[in-house]
Amino acid sequence: MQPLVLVADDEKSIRSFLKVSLETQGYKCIEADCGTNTLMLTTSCNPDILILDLGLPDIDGVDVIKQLRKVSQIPILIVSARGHDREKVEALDAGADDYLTKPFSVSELLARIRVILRRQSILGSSEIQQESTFKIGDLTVDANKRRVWLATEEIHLTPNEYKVLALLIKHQGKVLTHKFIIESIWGSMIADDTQSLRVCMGNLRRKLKEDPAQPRYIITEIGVGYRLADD
Amino acid sequence: MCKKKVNTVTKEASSKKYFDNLNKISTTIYNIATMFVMLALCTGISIFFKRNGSLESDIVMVYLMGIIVFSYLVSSYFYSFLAAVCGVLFYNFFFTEPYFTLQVYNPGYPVTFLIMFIVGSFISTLTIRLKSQTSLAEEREQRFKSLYQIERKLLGVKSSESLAKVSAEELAKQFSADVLVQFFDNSGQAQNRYVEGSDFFGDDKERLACYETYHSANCCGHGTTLFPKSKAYYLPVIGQGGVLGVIGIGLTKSLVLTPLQMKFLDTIAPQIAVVLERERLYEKQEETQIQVQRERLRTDMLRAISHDLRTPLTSIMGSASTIIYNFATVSDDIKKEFLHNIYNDASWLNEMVENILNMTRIDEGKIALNLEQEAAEEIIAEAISHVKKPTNKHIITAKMPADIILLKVDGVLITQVLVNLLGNAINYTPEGTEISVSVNKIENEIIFEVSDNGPGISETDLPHMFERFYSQHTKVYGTRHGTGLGLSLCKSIIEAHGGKIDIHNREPHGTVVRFCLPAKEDPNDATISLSR
Repeated sequence: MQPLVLVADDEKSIRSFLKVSLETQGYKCIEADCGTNTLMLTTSCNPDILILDLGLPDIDGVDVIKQLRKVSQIPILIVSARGHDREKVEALDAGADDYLTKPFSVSELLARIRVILRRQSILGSSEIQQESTFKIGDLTVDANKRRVWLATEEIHLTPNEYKVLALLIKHQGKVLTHKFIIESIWGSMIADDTQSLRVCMGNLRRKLKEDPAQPRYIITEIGVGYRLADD
Repeated sequence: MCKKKVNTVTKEASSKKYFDNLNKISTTIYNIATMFVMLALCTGISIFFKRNGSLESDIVMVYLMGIIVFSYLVSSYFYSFLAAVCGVLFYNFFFTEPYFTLQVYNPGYPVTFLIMFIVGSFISTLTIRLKSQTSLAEEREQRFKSLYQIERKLLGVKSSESLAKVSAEELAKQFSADVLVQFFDNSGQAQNRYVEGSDFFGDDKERLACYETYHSANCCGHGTTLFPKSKAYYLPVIGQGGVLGVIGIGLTKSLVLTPLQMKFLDTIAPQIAVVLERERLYEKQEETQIQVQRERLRTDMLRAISHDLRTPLTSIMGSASTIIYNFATVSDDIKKEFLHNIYNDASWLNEMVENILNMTRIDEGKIALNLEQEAAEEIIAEAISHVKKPTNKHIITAKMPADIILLKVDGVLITQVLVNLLGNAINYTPEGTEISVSVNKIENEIIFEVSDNGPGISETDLPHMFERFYSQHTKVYGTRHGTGLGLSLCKSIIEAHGGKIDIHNREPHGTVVRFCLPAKEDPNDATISLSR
C-alpha cells in the first residue's frame, strides 16, 4: 500500500513541487494550505505522515502540533525558515518528530520521510519482537546485558553515557532536543545540566572513536539537540 | 564650635542659642573694653600734651583720632557712636574747667562738644564704610579670580563625565568641603556622579534630598526648609531644558553657607549647566553622525547586494526561460545542464541571503547574541557537514584536543563563521587541496584555525580581506564568485563575542585564518578531561 503524505504549506509552488517529487517516489499526496485544513484532513484522511510548515497563516505551527498530539500519534516532519531555532525546539518538544530548514533539498526530505516511516513500522512491531541487540555500523549494543561493543572491542560507558546512548537508539533518526534528553536522563532541567550533557556527549563520542570532521553515529543539530545517525 | 553630637533637635537648637548669646556678650564686653582702653590711651596722651603746654585743639584731635582708630578696629556704627559720645564726655570730664566734673563754665564749650561729636561720628562712619568696602572688593576680586579659574577649567572638559569630576574638585577646593556632582539625562536617569571627599551622599536620606532637588528644582538640604536634617546643601543645576543635575555641598565642617558662598554657587551652577548642555549637544551630534554613517553604509550594502544578486538571477531567469520557450527543440542534456545551473545559482543566493540576514542582525547596533554553552567540536562538525558535498574533491580534516572545549557563544553564528571560512577555502583553492580545522585552548583563549595548502592570497589583497565588499581578485576555482560579505561578517561576529580574527599566508603556500574567543573565567569549568 502506498503511504499517504499530507503536505501543509501556504506556498502553492512549494506544495506542488513536493507533491510531484513525492508522487514520483511512490507516495500518495494530499495538500493543505492552512492550519484548519491540516487538522481537518489529518482526522478525516488519517495520513501516514505530515509535512508541516511552521508558518501557516491561520494557526501557529506549534499549536497545530499540540492540538494534533491530543488525538493522534501521526509522525510530523517540520519545515521551517532558518533563524527560527527557538520555534523549532518548541515544535520538537511539542511532539514533532523531525525538522528541516528551508531551503532544503528534495533528496534530504525523502530520506527523512523514509527514516520516519521505517521507525513507525518498527515501533508497530517491536512490542511483539522485543529486540535486545542493536547494531549500527560497527556499533553493537546489548540492551539486556547493558554492554556496548565497537567492532569486536568492548567499550565501557558510565551509567549516564549508556543512558544517553540507549535513549538515542530508542529514538534512532529522530532529533532529540537538549531539554528532552536532560529531562530523561537527569530528571529535571537545571541550567548546569546543559554543560553536563555536552561533556557526556563529548566523552561518548570519544569512546565511540568518532571522526570529528564527520561523525558516524551521533549527529549534532546546533541549537536544537542530537540524533543518532540512520543507516 | 559645637563638636559634641547632640541627639535631639531642640537640644541642638537651644545649645546653639546659648552659644550664640555667649558669643554676643563676649563681643560686647570686648568692644566696650577696647573702647575704654582706647579712650584711656587718648586721655593719657592728652595729659602729656597738656603738661607740655599744647593747645586744647590738639587734645580734641587726639580724641578724634582715638575714635577713628577704634571705629576701624570694631567696624560697628553703634560702637563708634558710643565712642564719639564717650570721647566727648572724657574730654569734658578731664580737660574742661571745672576739671573732673561734667560741668562747663565757658559757654563756648557745648558748641565744641557738639562739633567734636559730629566730626567724630561722621569720620568713623566713613572709616567703617571704607573698610567694609575694601574688604568687600578684596573678597569680590578673590571670587572673580576663582570663578575665572573654574570657568577656564570647565571650558576645557571633554565629556560630561570629566565635567562632573572637575566641578566637584573645584567646588571642594573652594568650600573645603565634601562635594557631590550628579547629572541626570533627559529621562531622569542618574548619569554621571562624582564625589570629591568622603561619600556620605549615598545614604538614603541624602539621596532623597538630592532627588527632591532634582524634581523640584529648589535648593534642599541643610539650611533650607526641605530636608533640613540632611548633612549637605543641595542646589539644582538648571539649564535651558530644565534641571540637568544637582550639586551637593557637605556641611559637616562649617554649619551654614554664607550669602557670599551662596552667591558663588548661584554663579557657578549655570556655568556648569552651559558646559553640560554643550557636551550633551556634542554627544548627540556625534551620535547622529554615526547614525548617518550607518545609514550610508546600509545603502552602500543594499546597492552592492542588489548588484550581486542580479548576476545569479539573470542566469536563473535566462536558463529557465530558455527551457520554457525551447522545450521541444533543446536536447535533454542541455536542459539538465541548465537546470543544474539554476540549482547552483539558487543555492549560491541562499548562502548569500544567509550572510545578509546574519549581517543585519549584527549591524543593528544591538546584537542579540543567543549565548549558550556549546562544545567546540560540535560546532566544527556542524560547519563541516554544512560545506561537505559528495561532489567535493577537497580533503577536509578536523583536529580536536583530547579535552572537551566548552564555550559560551552563539552557536549558530560561530557555525556561520566556520562555514564562511571553509566555503572560502573550498572556493579559492584547486581540487585536492587539504583543508584542516583545529581548535585549541591556550590560557584564557580558545583558538580556532582554518588552514589550507592552496595558493594563498596575494600581498596586496591581504590587508583588505576583512573589508566589506572587498571581493578579492585571486583566481576562483569553485563555481561561486565572492560577495565580499563573508569575511567581514566573520569579523563582526567574532568581535561581537569579544574575540579577534586574523588571516595570514603560510609557508610554503596556503592560507590560515585564526580566530580567538575568550574562554570562560573559570578554567576548571571550561575543560573537563576525559579521565573524569
